[in-house]
Amino acid sequence: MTEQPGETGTPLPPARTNYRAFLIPAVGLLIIIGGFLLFGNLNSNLVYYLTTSDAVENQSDFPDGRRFRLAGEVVPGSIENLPSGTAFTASDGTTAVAVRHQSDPPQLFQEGIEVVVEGTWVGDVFVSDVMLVKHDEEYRAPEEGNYQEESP
Amino acid sequence: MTTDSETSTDPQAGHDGSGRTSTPVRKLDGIAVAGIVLAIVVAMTVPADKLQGDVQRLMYVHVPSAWVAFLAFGVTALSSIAWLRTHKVTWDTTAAASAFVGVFFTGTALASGMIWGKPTWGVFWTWDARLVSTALLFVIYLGYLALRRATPDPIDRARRSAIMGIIAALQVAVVYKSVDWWVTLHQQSSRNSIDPALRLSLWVSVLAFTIVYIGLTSRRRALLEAEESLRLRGLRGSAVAGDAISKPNLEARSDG
Amino acid sequence: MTFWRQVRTVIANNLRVERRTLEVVGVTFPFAVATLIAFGLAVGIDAALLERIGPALYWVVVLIFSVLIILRSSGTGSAAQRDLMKLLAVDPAVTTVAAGLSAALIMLVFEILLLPVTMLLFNWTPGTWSWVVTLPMVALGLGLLGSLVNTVTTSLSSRTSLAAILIVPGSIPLLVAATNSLEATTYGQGILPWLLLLLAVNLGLGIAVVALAGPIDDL
Repeated sequence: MTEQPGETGTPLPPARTNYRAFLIPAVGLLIIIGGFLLFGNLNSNLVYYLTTSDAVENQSDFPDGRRFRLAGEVVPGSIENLPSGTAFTASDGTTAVAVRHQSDPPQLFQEGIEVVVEGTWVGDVFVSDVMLVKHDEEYRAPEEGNYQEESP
Repeated sequence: MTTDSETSTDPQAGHDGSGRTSTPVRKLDGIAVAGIVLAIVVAMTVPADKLQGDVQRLMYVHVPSAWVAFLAFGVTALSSIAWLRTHKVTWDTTAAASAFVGVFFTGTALASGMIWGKPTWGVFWTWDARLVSTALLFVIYLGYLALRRATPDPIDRARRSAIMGIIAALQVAVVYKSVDWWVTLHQQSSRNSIDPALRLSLWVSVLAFTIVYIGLTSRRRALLEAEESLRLRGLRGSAVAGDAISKPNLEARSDG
Repeated sequence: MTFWRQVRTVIANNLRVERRTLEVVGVTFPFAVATLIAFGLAVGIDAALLERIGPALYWVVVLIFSVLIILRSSGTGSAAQRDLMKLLAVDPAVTTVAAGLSAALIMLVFEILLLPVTMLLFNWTPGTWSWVVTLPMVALGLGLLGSLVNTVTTSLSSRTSLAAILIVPGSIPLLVAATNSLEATTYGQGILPWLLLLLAVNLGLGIAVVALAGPIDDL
């Protein structure tokens, strides 16, 4: 630490070290890491569910009774109402998995929508008790609504 | 104390503008009411979302509440920095008032989000990123307000809560991003995928809520300043140990 | 004396106090073990479920007990002790950084002691190297956050309850990163993003501790 002499006659203010030597590189590093976290396109591997293909491929890693999340699109025409819930087929386009959902599905549940179900394998059927509908990010006015007729 | 010397010596006057509602605040009330009425009218007349139906109209409460909450906590953080630099009372009261209003709107955003979640997701509460981070935001700023209540001395309170106001904003940013990566079922920002009529209505309600925020914050701040001046007046009137020795009679001096 | 030498001296002193009183190792740690046992009893004899929630319980206990460790009565954060430091012309940043680092070291000891207990009680094996990194990183984050909160609440009568509500929500990013790095390995994904998050949080807290040491010192 070097002492800076003040103007002649004026007493020096009480010394308080300033930590620029630490703060500037630290803030710089934080900005780099923060920027990487925000814009580094990391989001793709942060969503923890298995697609239907992955789930079938790694079925041996998740023996019956081990819970995991499975994502897929509800195959049109596969929905079947059961006394205690609903059964349908979920698919990611290549592999289809039969899902038995053991409680009432949410209102938005319908053919062709993306769902994430949580449960376990029972043989080759995925038995779930939690369902989340990945809701579509578009808001649209109904086609026959007055807005559509007015707009060109 | 910094404010003592500035307060009026006339016991009737108090702080300027405190205690009484000034005309600009009244005008703001009128504009806020008009804005809310307009927002309600627009929100109820634009068509609802095709998939979700009328439930989607909750968006006009939910999104603006969340926006105002973030705005409010941003104002708190900036005012806290300003207080640490200038030590002016007004920055402290702004930070406090803004945090108070922010907590209220966080509550509104949470409640409307849960009501909206029931028909769309099937559950009131889901471990969704926005829900979790908003709930934590609520708790963090309840902590901020608790810290304010727990510190009796005004200068001490201003300093502690300024530090907390800055840390809280950082925490919120990190919490928000971290849980955002963690669960991604909540839709992303829907600015580009929203119908123009719906978007217009959303903007109207965001604007109306912002005006309400400004109105409530300035009222709350006036209240805090009135409380402070009342406290100072109480201090001046009460007997202290030094009374018996000498009591500077400022009123008499200014009269003569 | 240089900055780090002062910090080292103060840390050594803080750790000596803990070694003599054994407050964390002898009191807080047994309490945490009792809590884990109570959790297991409350859940019931469902071995599969207990095995699954084991790591989650571990992190929750670490998080909540960090409040007790930070507010430990053998800690050196009281107003009188801070005043003494001021009289000794110790830079405020030294005091705050040293308090944070010594709390972090004690926290790490607590975590390391608790880990085998959780593994034993919940019949669970970590099976990944990520613990070697997550344990010290979480300890460091909790220590630094605790040091900030400790100074902000110095000498308030409601300090204990207030510190809890300030620490726990703020440490959520640490919890999220720690539990998700485990989850990521389950689903066969990399944990780099979570390690970066831990690093970013710790760096941010470190900056806050050093930059706010001045204003805190005036309290």
